[in-house]
Amino acid sequence: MTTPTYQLIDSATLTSSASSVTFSSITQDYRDLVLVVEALGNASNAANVLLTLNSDTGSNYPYVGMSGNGSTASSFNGTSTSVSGFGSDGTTKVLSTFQIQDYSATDKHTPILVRANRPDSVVQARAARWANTSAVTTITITDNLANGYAIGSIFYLFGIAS
Amino acid sequence: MGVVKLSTAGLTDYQKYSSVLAGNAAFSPSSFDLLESQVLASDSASITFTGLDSYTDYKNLQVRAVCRNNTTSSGWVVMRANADSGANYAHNYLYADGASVLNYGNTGVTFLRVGHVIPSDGIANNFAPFVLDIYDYSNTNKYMTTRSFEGLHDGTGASNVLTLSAGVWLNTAAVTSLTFTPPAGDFTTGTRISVYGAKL
Repeated sequence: MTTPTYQLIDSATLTSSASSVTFSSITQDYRDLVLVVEALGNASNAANVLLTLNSDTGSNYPYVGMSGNGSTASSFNGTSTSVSGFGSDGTTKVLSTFQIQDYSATDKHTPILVRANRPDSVVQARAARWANTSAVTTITITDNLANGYAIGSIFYLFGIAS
Repeated sequence: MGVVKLSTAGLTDYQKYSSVLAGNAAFSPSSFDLLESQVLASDSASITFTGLDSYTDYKNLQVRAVCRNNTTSSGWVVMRANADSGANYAHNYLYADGASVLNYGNTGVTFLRVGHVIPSDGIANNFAPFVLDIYDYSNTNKYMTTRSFEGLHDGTGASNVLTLSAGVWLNTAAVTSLTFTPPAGDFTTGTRISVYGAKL
């Protein structure tokens, strides 16, 4: 018998602006997590969606990425204190999807694949990992300019069965 | 004679509900299901899923994986359908290495490139992920088409890879099996490949 999967675990739809959104005490019953962020920024200067796991804000998130803006394709890599999606300028909502694989495993780093699209300017993808073998129990979403998220921003956390 | 009244006579305990759910949550059938999953408890030269034609309710498949192998090769995980090792595949992909974005395309190849592995001399506990979508896998009027999103970060320079790829198996046969193979050696313990079905 097949196992039903792709379940919405938690969600947040902002009815007032917020500097961050946190999903805590995440159930360990799934294999992968998918975080979908439809973000509307709080300011005219677009900030990047940032994701940290288990409140780890150390330099523990190496990544490689590619980006296209309609005229130039570029690649980049480094190590960061978070995993980055793409942000909104307060006018256009931006969609970032984080595929968080094997999040409950305690013998693996946590691999993360990110697609982030701002329709009027950029399409971007990243492969990152959380260099820690702890199971993921908390996900915190902030932004790199401390602008926060406006009313109407939506955050969905899905679990995919093991 | 029709029933006009139900009597509670003889019941020692009962709860009256106005809904046939009787206090239970409504059941919503899932349209995205885990079909099969393999998590290696020992090294293996390949991972194969068979009998995929038995899942008749599904239109598309999604394969989700994390991979590592037991050699120092950090190359491609490749996939074949129905054990076809002939030159019956084509793929195109964008490939980023942290410095530049490159574009590749191949026709008449003997496999589809769908992911990478972390090599045996890579960072401990690191596994490379991929998410692979397979469309119309059981339709005998169409070729099987694929879309893969994968990458890894395992240090500096050439150890970092990100690809977006599209592929096709040039055969209209229904897909009954999928075989995944590392670039060399074996997939290591802990490698996981799961197949999910998306319903019609």
